[in-house]
Amino acid sequence: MASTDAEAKLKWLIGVHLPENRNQWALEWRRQGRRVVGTLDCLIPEEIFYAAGMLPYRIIASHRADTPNAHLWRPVDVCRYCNHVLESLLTGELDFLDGLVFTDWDDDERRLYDVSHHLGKPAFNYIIHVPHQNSELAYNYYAKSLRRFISDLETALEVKVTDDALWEAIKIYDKMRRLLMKLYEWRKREAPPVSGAEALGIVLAAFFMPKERYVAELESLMDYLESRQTSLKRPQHRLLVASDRLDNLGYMELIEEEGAVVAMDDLDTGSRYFWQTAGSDSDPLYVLARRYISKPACPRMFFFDQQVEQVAQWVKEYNIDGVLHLPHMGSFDRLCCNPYFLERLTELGIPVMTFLREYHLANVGQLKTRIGAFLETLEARARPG
Amino acid sequence: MKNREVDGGKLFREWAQKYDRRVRKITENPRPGMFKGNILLYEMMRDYCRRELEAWESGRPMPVVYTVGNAAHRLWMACGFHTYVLDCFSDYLTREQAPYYLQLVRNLGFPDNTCDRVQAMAAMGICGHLPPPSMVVGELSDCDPGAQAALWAGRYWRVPTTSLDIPFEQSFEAVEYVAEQLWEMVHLAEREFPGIKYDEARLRQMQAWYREAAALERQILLISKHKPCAVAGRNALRMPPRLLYADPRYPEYFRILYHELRNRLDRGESVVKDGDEKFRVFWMCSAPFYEDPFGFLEERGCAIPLYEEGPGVPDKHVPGDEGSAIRFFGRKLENPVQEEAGVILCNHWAATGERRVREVLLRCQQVGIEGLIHFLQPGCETCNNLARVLGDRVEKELGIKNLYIEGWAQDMEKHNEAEFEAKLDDWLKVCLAEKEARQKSR
Repeated sequence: MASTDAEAKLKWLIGVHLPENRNQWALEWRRQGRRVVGTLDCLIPEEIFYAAGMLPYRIIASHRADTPNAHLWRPVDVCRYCNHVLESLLTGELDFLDGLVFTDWDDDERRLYDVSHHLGKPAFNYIIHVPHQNSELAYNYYAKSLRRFISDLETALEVKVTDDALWEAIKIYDKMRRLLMKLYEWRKREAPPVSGAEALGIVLAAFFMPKERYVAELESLMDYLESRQTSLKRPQHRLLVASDRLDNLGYMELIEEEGAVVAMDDLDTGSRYFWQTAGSDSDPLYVLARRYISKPACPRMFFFDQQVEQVAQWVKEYNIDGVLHLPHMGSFDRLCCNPYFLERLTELGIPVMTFLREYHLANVGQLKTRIGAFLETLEARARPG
Repeated sequence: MKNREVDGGKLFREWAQKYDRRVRKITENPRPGMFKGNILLYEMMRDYCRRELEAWESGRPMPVVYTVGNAAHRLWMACGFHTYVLDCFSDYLTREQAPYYLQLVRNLGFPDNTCDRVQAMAAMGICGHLPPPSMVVGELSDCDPGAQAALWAGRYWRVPTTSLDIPFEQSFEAVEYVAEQLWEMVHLAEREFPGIKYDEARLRQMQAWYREAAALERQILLISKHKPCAVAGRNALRMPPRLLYADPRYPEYFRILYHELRNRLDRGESVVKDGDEKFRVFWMCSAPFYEDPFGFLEERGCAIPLYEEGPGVPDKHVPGDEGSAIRFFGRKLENPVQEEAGVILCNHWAATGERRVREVLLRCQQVGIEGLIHFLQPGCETCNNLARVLGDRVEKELGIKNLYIEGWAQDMEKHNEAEFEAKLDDWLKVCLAEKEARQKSR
């Protein structure tokens, strides 16, 4: 592929998540009489939907400055992402979904299920408990819960999930994961092939496209990406961004406009979405349960302290100068982990800054100032003497 | 431990003195209207604090577990741990103490926008005013931040730390899952800490006391049905903390409370002004611990026979008997550890909302509730995010009125008493006017 074609294709892939693009596959799927199911986090095995011949659609919500319809049911000072999702549900933006599958990713998502269930929007809504422990006991319990979920899904949406179809799904998802991990491996270079914003866009595209298509598109770009260099101007500092529900490229662009490159992330919409393959060594639901529980942990997991060590490890491997911790307001699990996160990274000599953000892009001036100040401290650290 | 000095006996020392003063004051000047049960509660608290203080000051090795919420406290007590339920300490902070502890955790980066009750609980875990933990066990049956507060304490002190994973399904499979986790934790504790040994007889004894107390709470619920109401809203706040599960006097307190309330009822006494009960409400979630909004309402003829954390309310199920176990889990529980798991799984707070809604609807019908007051603590995701759904259901299904009122359990600096009371008063007036209009139209 010529580099100009490849670049155009890359730009297209990065733009898949934009509001004007992201629903096209879901709508096409519906036109073909097939089912589309919404998800809200990275803990529910999408492979199940794939195996059922359904299209999983991970929701990026409204991104509007205000969510007035949602506030009839939920307070303003809780999880902004959930409020934005509810706003999208109530304004009809997600009416094409046949169902919505929640987990207890946090209390907020669990309670969003309650509102969705109460309002009957969409008609099929379901919630699964995902264990918080990383243990055999937890894998087995989750595998059983998934078995029950499949049975309910088959009845409610008239689909069929076989073990063979699950293995097929695991295969294609693992292929996607390996490709993305390879791309992230290249981000370790002094001049990474993609910026943080571009990397986020590439991962977000996977939320909306049928997986074969996504894998095919990404695979066709790998040769080009291997030799590409990010076009960022004067990236003097390499940062790692840690957050949840960060699905707005604007945040990454803003950071990188200040003169840094986001060379690695700890995001449920980034590395935590695809890190770690599932494998094929046991029952498919057990394999999935194990993969989704033991992958790099979200703050809700009891073993999040291991994820802090993982972040520290990534800091080394990716030659990171500092960690930007960007919890969104109302992300209480992450906020409650903040003292330990700061303490441990500081103990390891890793510069870290926490800034509470909104779900949509807001407080831009303040954020720019804080990032600028953080980069200055990194510069001072790097100066000899 | 970080840079802060540890004074592990501080809270026990202060509280032993406080409860001793109270016991002496009541003994020397008994007031006729006061509950006789109070003195027993204060004696239990005083004796507990003295015992713990003595253990700390002796300098002998002291196996301590920090827990929160419903994390199988009786089991850890039965294993020989000094079991400190962090929220029991934070709930008992005085209005003078609370600001220090809230500020302490905020200064360390703990979120000031999560509910202040959790902030205070987190402070108890890291303040160094209790004996430091050997192990920390959180749980998820109340809320995520509560579990996170426990996890932080464990990470802070760098001790073995875990948390019970609680599914929201009520099934025997879930009981087995939670019980297995408990066994794993017990085995870990037995391996790691000298002197720790699971004592089943002791656990059975505490469970028997708990069941006895719960049976008396159900009797108190029956008293609450009568109008005018003999049970004061504040009585709910007089429940012994879970720290006292191992005290043989635990059920005795409930027996005394029940008989006193029963006597009040028999004498025709009521908590509402002039015995003229005009309205009755169910108070949801928490309350400002530093003032008495219940008394304010009772003075205006509004009874509060139910408070969500008080006697007989939804999450106090005790599946120890065969009938309850079958009702909740489809079969009899096999051992005391499964019973502990069952108690935890009966807490609907962190389950899906439907369980809480159904329980509230049932209690409202049982006790003849006319209004629900949703006490909304900023940052309480479990309660605030369900309040509108719950309100919608009780209004549509039972015609119950709702008040959504913001308030802080511990952070009195943010509380405006006059404004809070004005809201209660305005709402009550509207409810009474509507009730009167309905009665006239009949």
